[in-house]
Amino acid sequence: MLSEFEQDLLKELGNIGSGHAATALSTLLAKPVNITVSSAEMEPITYLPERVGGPERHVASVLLELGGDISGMILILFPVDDAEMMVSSLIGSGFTFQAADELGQSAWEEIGNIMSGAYARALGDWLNTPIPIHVPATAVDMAGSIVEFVVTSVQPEEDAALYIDTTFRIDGKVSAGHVLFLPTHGSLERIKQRLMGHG
Amino acid sequence: MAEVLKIGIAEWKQTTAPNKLRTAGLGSCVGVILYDVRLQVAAMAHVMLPDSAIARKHQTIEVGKYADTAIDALVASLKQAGAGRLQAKMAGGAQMFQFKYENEAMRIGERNAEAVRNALKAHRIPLIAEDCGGHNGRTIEFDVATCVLSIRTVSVGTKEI
Repeated sequence: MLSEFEQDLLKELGNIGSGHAATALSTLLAKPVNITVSSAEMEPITYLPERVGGPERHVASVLLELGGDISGMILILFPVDDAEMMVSSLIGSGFTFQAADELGQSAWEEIGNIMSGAYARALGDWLNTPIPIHVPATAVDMAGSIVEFVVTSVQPEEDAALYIDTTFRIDGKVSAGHVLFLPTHGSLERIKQRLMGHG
Repeated sequence: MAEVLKIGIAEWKQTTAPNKLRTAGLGSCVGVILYDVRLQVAAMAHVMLPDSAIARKHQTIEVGKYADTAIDALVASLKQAGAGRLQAKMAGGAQMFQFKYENEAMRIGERNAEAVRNALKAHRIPLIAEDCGGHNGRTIEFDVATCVLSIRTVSVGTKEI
């Protein structure tokens, strides 16, 4: 369980990271992108897939691994339809993941790069520490199969997953897009120290 | 009425015919089923990690989470229900993301599948069929009456083993 104070700190972190990711996406798509208030949760791993639309929800995802002092992963998930709509508007022609068109695929990777990179940079600026990032990877599949890999990789020794979740709205349309930030257990402590040090 | 019992990440459950056991959205995790054909009883676990040694000393272990503890728990529970000759089927253990760099953590699916195979061997339980590896998520459903495991994927169709 997180204390109310810890939840507020992490929510704020989520708002700052996803705020920058939303601005980056908005610039890219030339459309308004809004975020809802982030939530910070720690709950049994079993329930996490339900939070992102159910284990079998067909989603397009981008995963960015963070290194350094603040390690963990940033996972961006959009329902496949929404992701295809974003890519189509970016490349100016209809795109489906199934058709595996190369231009569209790299446009999707670019959306992921830009959003996750903006999130990571905002975290680093706010926490005043460089956050080295790797090249993100993409997967289009069932939401459950994607989030379980992320939890397994970031927090293997924990029985409850700690994550900061933000939902996206593109062009006024309610999208079920999510950005999840899962810090490693050690990073959570360092995040708290840094934020409290800042007053 | 036949029921479908849902098993979440790191959980396990046991039931009898005509019920079914189901777990949705398996990625790097492995769904393993132990069953007794004659008695028509089966148990399924959604295994996340290969080895319970990683668990912290002070914490109570969630037995369904690790390959070694999950197989021990399924065997003990089925034996208690009177099961005799156990058999196994399994699916999952995929690599969901292909990174430009490779490291050991990315191969977690493969290591999970191998750990389940080893645990089965240690208990001398024959593995009748498996569908492991690849890069796709799976939803699996085991029919206790027929002992057929149905596997559904988003991109590579459905199959029965």
